[in-house]
Amino acid sequence: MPPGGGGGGEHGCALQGQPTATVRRDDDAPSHSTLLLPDIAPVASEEKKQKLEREQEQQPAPSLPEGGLMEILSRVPYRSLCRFKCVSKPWLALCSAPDIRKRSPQTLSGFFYQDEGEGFSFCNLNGRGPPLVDPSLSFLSKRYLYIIVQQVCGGLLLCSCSNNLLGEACYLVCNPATEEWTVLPPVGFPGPDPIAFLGFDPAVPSRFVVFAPQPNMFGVDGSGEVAIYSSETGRWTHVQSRWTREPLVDHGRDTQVFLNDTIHLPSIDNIMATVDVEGKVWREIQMPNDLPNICDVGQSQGRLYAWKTDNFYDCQLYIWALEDYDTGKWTLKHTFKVLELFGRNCRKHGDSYAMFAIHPDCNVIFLTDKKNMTLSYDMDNQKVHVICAKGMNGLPYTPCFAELPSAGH
Amino acid sequence: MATREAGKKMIMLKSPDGMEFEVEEAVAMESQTIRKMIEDDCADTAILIPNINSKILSRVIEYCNKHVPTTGATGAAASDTVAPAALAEDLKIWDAEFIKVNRATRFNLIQAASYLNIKGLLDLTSQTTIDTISDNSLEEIRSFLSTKNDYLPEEEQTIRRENQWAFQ
Repeated sequence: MPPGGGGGGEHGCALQGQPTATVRRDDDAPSHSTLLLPDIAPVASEEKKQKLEREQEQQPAPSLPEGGLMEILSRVPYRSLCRFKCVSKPWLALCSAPDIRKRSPQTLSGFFYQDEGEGFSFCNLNGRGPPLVDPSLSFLSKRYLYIIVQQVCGGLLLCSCSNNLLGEACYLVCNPATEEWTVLPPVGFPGPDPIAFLGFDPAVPSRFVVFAPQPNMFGVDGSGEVAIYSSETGRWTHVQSRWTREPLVDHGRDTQVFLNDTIHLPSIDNIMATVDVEGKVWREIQMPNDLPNICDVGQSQGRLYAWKTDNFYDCQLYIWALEDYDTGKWTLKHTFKVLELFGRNCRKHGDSYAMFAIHPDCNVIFLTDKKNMTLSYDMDNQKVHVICAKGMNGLPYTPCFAELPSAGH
Repeated sequence: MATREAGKKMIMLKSPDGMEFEVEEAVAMESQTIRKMIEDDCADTAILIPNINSKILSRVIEYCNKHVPTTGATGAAASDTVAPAALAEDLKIWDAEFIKVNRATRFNLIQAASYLNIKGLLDLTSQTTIDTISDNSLEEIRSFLSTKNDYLPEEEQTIRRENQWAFQ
């Protein structure tokens, strides 16, 4: 590929007409020493005189030693790493190295969602291009006929898998980025395995936890248990629940939050039931609004948020933050007119809007009309971006390249 | 070059091209590598810093001098009277000026910071380079980092297709 002609198919930022002008002026000086790569000399020729003058006092080595390159690559986001793979073969090797990928800072990359026409799908955060991960989970489909993704937490998925619709399904936790998975043993309650909730913190990638409250736990005898699976032990531990009532989790929503080693399960009676990974700290946090509708919850920048869209009147969206975790004090942070964000004047009969996620690392929220538009809204600069021309109740996904703890495969 | 002050322990750093730099121990200990040498008592005479020429070493020392906590070159009075926020802002401006160097110097600084294990300098030099290259085209990155494209055209097409999402 001739120099300067290679960026043809690239994104808009590629400034073809100014080969080195995008690089800071004062950086140009000894750009291409005679030691290195005469084949990219064309860009250097204009600067040669300057260069030679300055090179008298410079060390002639404008190539970055591998150690320094590793330092740089371990600081760039995953998206840049993937672009850099295309630079050269040695870069492909460097950018694919597990150590680099593990250190690469990860952030929200897109959403898994159920597409009515196409089944389980994935939408990139910027709404464009082929999906970053293969939503068919082909590495699992060789082994299981039926795979239902129950939850996404950080970079891991909790799936219910079976080979026979009538037979018993098992839970497994998989990492679509590394295509590793771990099959969980049966929960151990009588009857089929109950609904379970995945807890995984990318900051502690050496462990994931799954919580399974016993169904109908507050039965006649008033005793209830929660089974907690830890990847560290590889087994379920049954703990006596200390919640005062059974959390009635709305399973259609998938908005449990795992934060500070604790799972937070919003329940339909305006309570958020929490328990930590050890099964020692049990709490019930009152949700912020007193309307009968359940709030959805999410976490951003280490803080819990709850939100609710009022689809009855003017489609107001309310967002609260749990300002004081210890006392359970919620503060109403934002209210938005959802119709305005969608650029619509009025709500048509039967229309319904929902915020389905908050960005874990910045003040961006994600909303859908559940029909033909899904958008992101940056609360800092009030910018709206359409990310999908479909309705979607997306499950936020942040890739994780750490090895899956106790991965069986 | 640092001057000797009363009560301050000085360390001699030697570059491979024969230059010697006398610096305060606290300044030298901004480098975790040198700190370890000092703590292990390997530093009673001069420390030879391999692979880092005198020009780069003097810049590294300049950085450490500026960033050493408490009594740096500016003396104790400065940090007592200036608010921490203002001090941090001042450092930021100073860093921005410091890193206005040509590419070769910057790459050498990255290598030096990596070898000497000076986190602040490593962050500064790496991040500046990332900021420069992250939005550039592949060709610009190749030329900036003097890396040769050794893909065959069809290989490049394949790898581009696999990672197309990252270019959108």
